[in-house]
Amino acid sequence: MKEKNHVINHSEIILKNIKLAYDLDCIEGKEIHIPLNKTTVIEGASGRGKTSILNVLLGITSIASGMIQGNNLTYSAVFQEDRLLEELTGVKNIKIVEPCIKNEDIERELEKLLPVSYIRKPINTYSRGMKRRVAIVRAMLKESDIVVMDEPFAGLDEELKKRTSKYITEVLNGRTLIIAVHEKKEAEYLRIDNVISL
Amino acid sequence: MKNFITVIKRISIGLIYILGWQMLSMWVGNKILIAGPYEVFEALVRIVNAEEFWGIIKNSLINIMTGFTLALLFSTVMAFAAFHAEYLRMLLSPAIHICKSVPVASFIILILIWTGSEGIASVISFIIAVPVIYSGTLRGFMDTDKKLIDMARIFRMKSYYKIYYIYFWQIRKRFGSDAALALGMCFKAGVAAEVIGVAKNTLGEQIYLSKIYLNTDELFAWTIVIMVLAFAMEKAVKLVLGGMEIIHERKKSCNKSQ
Repeated sequence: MKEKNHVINHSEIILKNIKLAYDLDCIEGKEIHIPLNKTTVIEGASGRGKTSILNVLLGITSIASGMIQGNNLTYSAVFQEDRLLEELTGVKNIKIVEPCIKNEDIERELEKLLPVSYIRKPINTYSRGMKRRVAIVRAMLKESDIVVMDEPFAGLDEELKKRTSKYITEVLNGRTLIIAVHEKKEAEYLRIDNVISL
Repeated sequence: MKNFITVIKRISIGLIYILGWQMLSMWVGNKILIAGPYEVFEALVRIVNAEEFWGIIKNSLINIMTGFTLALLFSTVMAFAAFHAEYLRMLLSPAIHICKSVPVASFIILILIWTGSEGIASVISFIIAVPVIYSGTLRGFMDTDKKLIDMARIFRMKSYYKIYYIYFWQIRKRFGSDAALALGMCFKAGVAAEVIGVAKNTLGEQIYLSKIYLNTDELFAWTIVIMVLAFAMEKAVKLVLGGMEIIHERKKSCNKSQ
């Protein structure tokens, strides 16, 4: 069982000299500061370690050495792959991670980003971009301290990117958002407080 | 139209087999060696109308289905536990291999020595079904998408949802076919145990008596009864296990029609 092995100093999460089990020189020896209750963009080309950093934060990847300062923060995430249950509907995919929300409320949220006719259809009938938007709504509706997003706008056109960014800003409600993108401009419609370039 | 043609094809295949059987029995010309379809049909009507018929069916069915149901529950729980505990997986591995490789007859004789013939079909059905269901279910759990398990952990998904929607959904198709396979084996081995143990008022006993009195027509008739029972139980089990999936599929088709 992996643990989220980081502590916070009440205002930020700090990753110090982290070394992963596999070689990833680009993040070794670095000190990464992620302010809480702000939006941080981690930008970098493929293979620069963006996803690795997010995976370390989420407890998916363990570190071989180094230190992560943080504590019992709760997370929700948009993964690089959507990680949705393909045979369940969009509503059900959200309901099973946040059972306290009423179905009607989930439907209302999904309607903001998806065609109404699709909301009660199984995920395997959705397009790539639609799945992405369900994953985003799921992460936003899950009660958590930190929302982590790995290339959330992949497969979305400009108009959808704008609408989705607006939705994220509305629902974020002062929480910490950590978003990994190839280039900062991919997150141009979000209010960015901090940029980490890899 | 396509369905109608398929039905006609199937009926014609059945008739060809019955015709071949009739011709073979006429060619052999000895009802003890091979009873013809008509004699077997007569025997079938006779045994179905006999007073004790339903009692015999009930006894064997209860015995076999008890063993199978217990095996289903035991194997699923053990597979889930073994999936989470490597040591338990290693501990169970030799026992499962023994169940798989030891001849059924050895188990039957051993159970007869220990406990006698009463309820022997239950024990044998259990021993036969456990390795099939356990191995298939464990394989299903092992194949569960690790990324979904990580997702469930990060989103702090409730255990019930995790077990049902991630683990159970992953294994449900394999589980249905493994259970059906195990059930077929339970009928074969369970009836064989009743034959060897001459368990009172069971299907096995009737087959044994057919052998003693050289009633080949009744042997064939009881065999048909067992085949029909096994087929009906297999369908019932598939229906129960696949029930949730059917409901889900219906929901899907409703959504598509909207």
